[in-house]
Formats: sequence, C-alpha cells, structure tokens
Amino acid sequence: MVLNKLNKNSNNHSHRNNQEKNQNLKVNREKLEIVKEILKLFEKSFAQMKIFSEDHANVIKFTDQLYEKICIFLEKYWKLELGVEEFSFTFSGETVFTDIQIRKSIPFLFHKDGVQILFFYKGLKKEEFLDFLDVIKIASNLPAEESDIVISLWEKDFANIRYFAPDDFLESKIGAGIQQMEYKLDKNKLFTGKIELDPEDQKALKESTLAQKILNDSIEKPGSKPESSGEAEKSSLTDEEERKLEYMILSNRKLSPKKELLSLLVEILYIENRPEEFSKTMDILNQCHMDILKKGDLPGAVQNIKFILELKKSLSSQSDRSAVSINKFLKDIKDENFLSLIEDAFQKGKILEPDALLEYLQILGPEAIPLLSNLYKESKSPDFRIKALSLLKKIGKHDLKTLMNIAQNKHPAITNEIISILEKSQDKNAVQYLSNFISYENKSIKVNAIKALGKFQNNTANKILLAFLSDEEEELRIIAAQNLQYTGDKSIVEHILKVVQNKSFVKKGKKEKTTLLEFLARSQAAEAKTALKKILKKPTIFSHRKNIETSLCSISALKTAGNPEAMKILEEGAKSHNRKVKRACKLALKNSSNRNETERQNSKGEEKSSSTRLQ
Amino acid sequence: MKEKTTIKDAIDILYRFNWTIKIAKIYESNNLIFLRQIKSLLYLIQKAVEVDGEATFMLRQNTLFFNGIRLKFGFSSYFLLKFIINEFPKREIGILSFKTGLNEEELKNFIILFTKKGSKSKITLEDFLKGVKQYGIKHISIEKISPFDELSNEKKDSAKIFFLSITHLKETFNKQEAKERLPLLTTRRLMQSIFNNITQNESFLYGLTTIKNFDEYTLNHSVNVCVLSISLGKRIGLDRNELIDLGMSAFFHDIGKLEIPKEILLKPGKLDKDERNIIEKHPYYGAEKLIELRELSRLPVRAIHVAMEHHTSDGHSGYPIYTEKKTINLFSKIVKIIDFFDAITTKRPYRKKDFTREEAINMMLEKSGTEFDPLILKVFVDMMGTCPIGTMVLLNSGEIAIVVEINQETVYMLRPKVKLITDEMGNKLDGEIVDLTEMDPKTNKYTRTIVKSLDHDKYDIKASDYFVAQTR
Repeated sequence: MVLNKLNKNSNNHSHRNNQEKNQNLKVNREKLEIVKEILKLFEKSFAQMKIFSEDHANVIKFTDQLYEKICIFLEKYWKLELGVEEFSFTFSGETVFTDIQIRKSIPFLFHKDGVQILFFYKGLKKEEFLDFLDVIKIASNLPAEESDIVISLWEKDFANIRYFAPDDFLESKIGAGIQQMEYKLDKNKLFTGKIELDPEDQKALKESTLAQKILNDSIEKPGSKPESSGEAEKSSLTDEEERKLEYMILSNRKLSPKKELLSLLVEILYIENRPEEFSKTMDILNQCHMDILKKGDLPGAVQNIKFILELKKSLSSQSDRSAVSINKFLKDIKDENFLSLIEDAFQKGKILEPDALLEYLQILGPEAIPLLSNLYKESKSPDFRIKALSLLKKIGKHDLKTLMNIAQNKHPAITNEIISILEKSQDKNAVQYLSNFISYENKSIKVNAIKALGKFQNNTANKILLAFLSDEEEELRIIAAQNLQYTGDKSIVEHILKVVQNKSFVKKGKKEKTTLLEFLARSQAAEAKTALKKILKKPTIFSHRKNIETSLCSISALKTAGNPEAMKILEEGAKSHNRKVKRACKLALKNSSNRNETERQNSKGEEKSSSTRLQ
Repeated sequence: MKEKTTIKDAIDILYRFNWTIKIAKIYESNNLIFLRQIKSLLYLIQKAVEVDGEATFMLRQNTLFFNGIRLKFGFSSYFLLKFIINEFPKREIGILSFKTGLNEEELKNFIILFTKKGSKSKITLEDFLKGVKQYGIKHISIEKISPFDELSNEKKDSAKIFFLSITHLKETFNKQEAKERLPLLTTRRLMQSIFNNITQNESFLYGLTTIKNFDEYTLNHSVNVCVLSISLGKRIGLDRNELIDLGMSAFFHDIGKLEIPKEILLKPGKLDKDERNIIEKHPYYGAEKLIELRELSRLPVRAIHVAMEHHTSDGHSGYPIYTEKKTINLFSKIVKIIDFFDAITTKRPYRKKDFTREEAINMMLEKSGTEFDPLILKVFVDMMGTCPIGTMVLLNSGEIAIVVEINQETVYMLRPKVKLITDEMGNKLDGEIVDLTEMDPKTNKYTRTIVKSLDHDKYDIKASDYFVAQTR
C-alpha cells in the first residue's frame, strides 16, 4: 500500500517533470525559431545597409522590422544572448545562423575581434539599435586590420547592447617575438623570516598609545562623523573648486584639436633647430592648415598664418633652410589647392565668420583676388559683398594685372570697382588696362571706363577714348567725347576734325555733334577754330536743315566752352546771313555775358565775406 | 503627478543607501541615528516606487542602472557608484529591487543583513537569500549577478593586462625605431581593458604601479603613468572616451626618450649642462614623433600635447618654454602630476634616494599651484590617500602591513585597508586584509591604528611583491 502510494507519488512526480520538460522544450523551440527569424532579418537588413544609404526606403523597412522583432522578443524574454563563433551565432547552445563568407559574415565580424557573446536587453532603444547597426556597417567596410568592432562598441557604450570579449584576445595580438617582462617573486622569502624593527621604529610603536589617544580624541572619534551632512564623503574639494574643475573639463572639451595642434606645431618650430625636422614639421603644419581650411575655420587659419609670420621674423637670423621651409609654406597657402578649399567651405556654408575670411584673404594679398571675386559673386549677403569690394580695392591696387583677370562683362559691380581702382592707380599700365573695356558689352562698365580715362588727361587716355567714339551706342560716344581732354596733342584734334568734316557727321544726333564740336572749342587749337568758324559761316538762307542744325550745335558747343576764342567765333557768327544762326549766336553771347556777370558778383561776395571773417 | 525618476533621484537614493550602510556598521540596530537613516532611505525609495512602480538597482558589466536609467560616473557620484559596483558582486547581487509595500522593519533588516560580514571575502547569494527569508523580507527581491560580471573581477586578469601593457609598449617602441607602422588599434583596445580593470580592481592596479623595473624604466614608468592617469581622470569626471585618450597620451608621453642616448638616460650621477640640455629635448622629440603618426588617426591630438607638455607647468616654467602658446592642456596637467609622482618614487641611477609615496605626495603638495595644478593635485591626493596604496606601515598592534586599499572617506584617510605581512612579533606571514576602520565592539575603539609608515628599503621589502603574489 505504502509502496503503491510511493509509486503513485513518484509517477505523478515524474509525469509532472515530463510535462515541465516538454513545456520547456516547447518554449525553447519557440524561442529558437524567433531568434532564427531575427537573425535572417538581421542579415537582410545588413545587406541593404551595405548597398543603400540609411534613409533609403529598403533600409528603413528592414531595420524597422528587425527592431520590432527584437523588441517583441525582449519584451517576452527580457534578454537575447547570442553566442559568437567563427561563422555562426548560437542561441542556447544551438547554431541559429551561419554565414561562411568572410567578407559579409556578421558573426565573423565579431569573432575576428574576440567577441564571444552578444547581449541585447529589454529597453533597447531604436536610436541605440540603429547606432549599433551603424557600428557594424562601418566595421565591415574597413579592412580587417584597420577595424576593431570591440573598440567601437566600447566607445559607444550602449546601455542595452553589451558584449563579452575577454582580454585573452589581446594576448594573441601583443608581443609576438618579444620577451615578456618577467616579475621574479620568491614567495618563500615573502612569507617566511622575520622583520626586526629598528630602534627608531620601535620607539614610535611604544609612543603610539599616546598618538592614538590624540587621534581618537580629535578627528577620528568613531560615530562623530555620521551625524554630519556627509559632504566630506566625496572629496576634499570645496563646491567652488568642484565647479572650477568642471569648468576646466568643459573648456577642454570645447578646444578644437586642430587649432591646438597648430599652436603646438608652431611652438615646436620655435624650438626645433634641426633643419630636416623643421621641414618635416612645416609639412605637417601645411597639412593641418589645409584641414582647418576644409572645416571653414578661418579664425584658426588667420591665427596660424600670424604665428608663422611671427616665427619667420624671429627666425630671420637663423638657419636658411628653416626660412626656406617657412617661405614655401607661405607660398603654398596662396596656391590653388589651398584657395579652392576655402571656396568649397564657403559654398558649403562652413565659414561662419566672414570677417575672418576677409582678414585671411587680406593676409594672402593679391593672390587672393580671383577667390575674393568668386566669393563676392557667390555671396548673397549685402554686407559681405560691400566688405569684399572694399577689400578688393585694398589688395587689388598692388596687382592690377591680377585684378584685370577678374574683370568680367557679366559682373559689373566688381568690374566697376576695378575701374575705380585703375582710375586712382599711379601704375603706368592702368590707362592701358582701361582699353580692355572697349570690347565689353555692359554699358555701365563702358561708361565708367570712359570716365576713368577722362580723368587721366593724357594722350594715351585720349587715344583710347577716340576708340570709344566709334562705339555703336550714341550715348557712349557722347560720354567719350565729353571726356576727351586736349593736352596739346594735335593728332586728337585732327582725329575729331576728320569726324566732324566727314559727310556722315551731319547725320549724327544733336547731342553727339555738340559734344564733338565742344571738344574742338575747348581745345582752342587753330585748326579747330577755323573749322568751327567754317561751320558757322556755312549756312545761308536756303541751307539744309541738317547743316543749320550742325551750326546750332556748334554755337551750343562754343557757348559751353565759354573761352575768349569761342566768344570771338560767336561774335562772328552773330553776323551770319542765316537768321537762326545769327539769333542763336547772339543769344549765346548774351547768356555768356550774363553768366560772366553773375560769376563776377559771386566771387566779389565771397571775397567780402572772407575779409569780414578775417576782421 | 511627477514624471519618471531622474538621475538625481537615483543618486539621492544611492547616497542615502551608502550612508545607511556605513552607519549600520557603527551603530546597533536600535540606535536612533541608524533608525533615522532607515526612515530617510525608506522615504526616498517609496517616492521612486510611487513614481515607477519599483526601485531597482541593476548591475550589468560594471554599469549601474536604476529603474532603467543608466548611472554614469561623474565627479560627485564617483564614490557612490564605485560602492555599489564593489559591494554587489561581493554578495553575487545583480539586481536589487524594492517593491511597493516595503516597510521600515524590512528595510532595517535588509541593511543589517547587507552589512553582516561573512567568513570569506565573498558572501554567496544563497547565504544572503537565506537571511532575507529568515528576516521575512518580502518586498525586496534579489537576482544573481551575471557570470560575466563575476568572472571579470579576477586580479589575475588585471595583472595580465598590466604586464601585457609593458610588452606592448616595448613592441611599439621597437616598431617606432624600425619606422614600422604602429599597432595603435591594439593600443586603444588595451587602454579600454585597462579602463575596465580599473573599474573592477582599482586598488589592486594601484598596487601594481609600485612595480619599478630598473632595466626597463621608461616602459614600466609609462604603464604606471597610464594606469594612474586614467584613474585620476576618472575621478575628476572625464568621460570614457576621454579617459581612453588620456590613457594613450600617458602611455606615449615619454616616447621622445627613444631619441636620447642610453648613456645619458642611465648615467649614474648628476648630468652636466649639455646632457641636461639633451634630456630636456625629449618632450618635443616625442611630440614630433607622435605628430608623424597622426595620419593613422588612432592617436588623439592630446597625446602630442602630453608628450610636449609633461615637464612644463604653464608653458613658461619647466621645459620646453613656449613662445606663443599661453596655456597647457588639461591632459598634460594630469599626466604631469602622475609622471612626477611615479618618477620620484622610483630609484634612478642619478638620484641617491627614491622617495616613499607618502614623501612624494608631501613634496608635491608644497609645489601645488606653482608646479602642479592645485585642483587636480587635490583630487590626486584624495585618490592616493595620505597613506597611498603600497605604503608599508607599522600598526599599533606591532604588526607590519602594506596598504592595499584607500578608504575613500576623507575623514578615514588614515584608516585604509591593509594586508598584514608580519604578526606582532615581526614574523612574516601571508596575512589577511584588514579594514582599519573596524572597531572592537567591547572597547568601542579601533582594532588597529597606523603608527607610522616604514621605509621599504630599510627592511628590504618590495610592496609590489605582495600584489603580484595575489595573482600566483
């Protein structure tokens, strides 16, 4: 009976055990299947990620599905623990995924760097998971010897994705062929024998009771501290000191490593007196300078060049080879390779401090002119454009040739600025450069060029202006004529006379005719006077309207010239048989005399007021 | 209603938990001070339970979570986190969860249980859970630590990494001299391992830095500086990745010495002016060497600073003297302190006497603010303690001991944990590790007190032997 009962109990027990076992098996089987599905999806997502960018629809679709599946698993089972073997992942001791192609095998990517287990925990965040996938992607894209996925995972320090990679792995990587440092330890000597205290230490021991009493009575009295606030727990720093320390750390984080490196390089250059090493460091500095330009850090670049210029000054008496290196650097930075980096950074909006950019370009000097012009054209900021033009004026005046290279018909603002620089330039080639604008199409450019030429008052400028007299546009021809200055060069007068005496002259517009004749009147050259007189005399009662018009233009020109010679010609003209000419000459003379009187009155008034002030 | 528990709430609970444990070690369970602490702790826990439904600490691979919030090492939370990271594995606790319904009596009993000392350094979770059951604690649940967190605590592994670092530096220096590509990826990985080991076995690693290899001084010194720099950086609040950069910087800080002739480096006696000039060039020689490596992008720029600046205070004293640069890098300030400390506590051919760690710290304190950054030095002194790890001490019991762990509370700086190396008669032994804050309940006085630190050389004792012995 008892036996039966026992058997029955035992049967019941084993039945229950079997049921539990079966249940466990079922659960495990179910888990295994889900893990297999997760890993398949992992493989698919990874394949997509390798081909497409992270925002590609396929990548988003697969990674979303994968994340969702893992989360469902973690929600139910709290943790996903994957064993990592050379080409496989295992789960609960069973292989759940295998890929033997080294180039794309995910397990191998972890295995090669010593990862043995991967853990995913409940609470896994989407961002964290995507970051994890990114780490794998980056590692898989690098050659095996240049990547270590453990380093990347460690750096990321994911809260819910952990790994187990024992340090044993490092042993296989370190010290091949090197004898390891051997620490000789004699345990026997360590734990046997005796230490005899010397008299001084023995004395101290004897006196220790007293010392202990003092200690116990003062700071260390047991139980005295727990009642305190516990501030002494953390460290002996005061709150203020803690804050200072935190500030130090934050400031250190804000430092730009590149800038810091540059300033360090400069210091090394100050110290280094071995030419070869100096030159090597200069090369690195050159490289770093490129890097900061790429980043658009123009204040850094300015500082760097200033440092180098200072260095150059201080080293001027030292090794020639050092000076050669510095000069090479200063030349290199004006090179197209460097300048294009600035333009690129500017286009990408990386340059946040335009004033530093302009300062940098100013330091570079005329070599920066083409770049400055491009930046001007690309910029949408009116403020920057104004400042760029102003800088162009500053640095352009020293290199008109380079400046001329950036002049363009389609960019009148810059070109006009160039014309204004040429106008003020003392350079003998400036006038010649202005002739380049004859062939331009832009009217404002031509007008400014003509006006600039007019200010030179020399034969070369006049000769260029003569070329403008053949321009297709009447207005430009007029302005050119207005800007002609008689300098005693007869050839100019002759040229204009030819124009005036040409049959086509009468067909020109009134204003153009007047302006050309005005030049003749202003010149007071004998040939010009004769020609003007002839023009006034020519019309009779029956003269052609166009001829009369030319005479009237001549009167207007003489009136504007207003010189005594002109007045004489007008007086003669007042005797003309042609009524219109006669009347116009008289009127011109009258106006001139009135004008003279007004001018005389004005000048008297001015003299009077100035003498009153003096009194 | 309040939103989820914040990191500050979690730190508050940790702080109170830590404090309650300390008080429980001193006072009886019916002492009012103790009961007041229990009340305060219970209040904070209940607040968190009310908001989140539980108050759970979880330790996962040296990372502590509270109700799912990850708690990271910071300057002010350093000791609190360290406390849990040390204490949980000792009891095999991975998760400790306080539930709704927790009462004062349960919490009190739990704290008493937590502070109970086992016969061994480690108390099994089984024993601990038995106690929980015995006390009838129903609203606190405990789960076992992951085997990976347990395994990683081996001192043997820390020692292995320490010696491996020396080998690695030697290998790196050889490659540098042969103009071969440096294995900087491995260096970085090694730094991560050192970081992990510092988190787990900080005191033990400090102990290993007492190893002074005369023949390979630069190698041994560089690894010591690396370990201690990471540790100091961690205390001042640098983040993980900064600490790895700091470690690498410290590791290579003396690489410039490869350029200095051995006859000068190892010259017994004082160096003449020319020799001094040559040796003073090693910072910028080092910086230049590292600059050349930078293209490999695995080396932090700050390593170059450290190589260049570890002998200058502010760029205007020491060497080299700066012309334009006005400040020195934070990492350089850290490494400078450690470099000096390790150097003067090491026997050198040109110096008659090496200083004890205690003497070194006193000497450094005299130079605070001039030679060394005062704030970082202060943290360093806290870190090393008044009796730094490795110090040989005479106890009032007549026993001689080696300091193996600093008591982090500044008031108990003179009460570290020590390993007894002799009995009261001076007979050498493989003694136990004792905590000098322990008190005799009968007399209510400390069981042992340090009388003075002893000169290792006088007694022919190498502190490092006692640390290495723990791994063999």
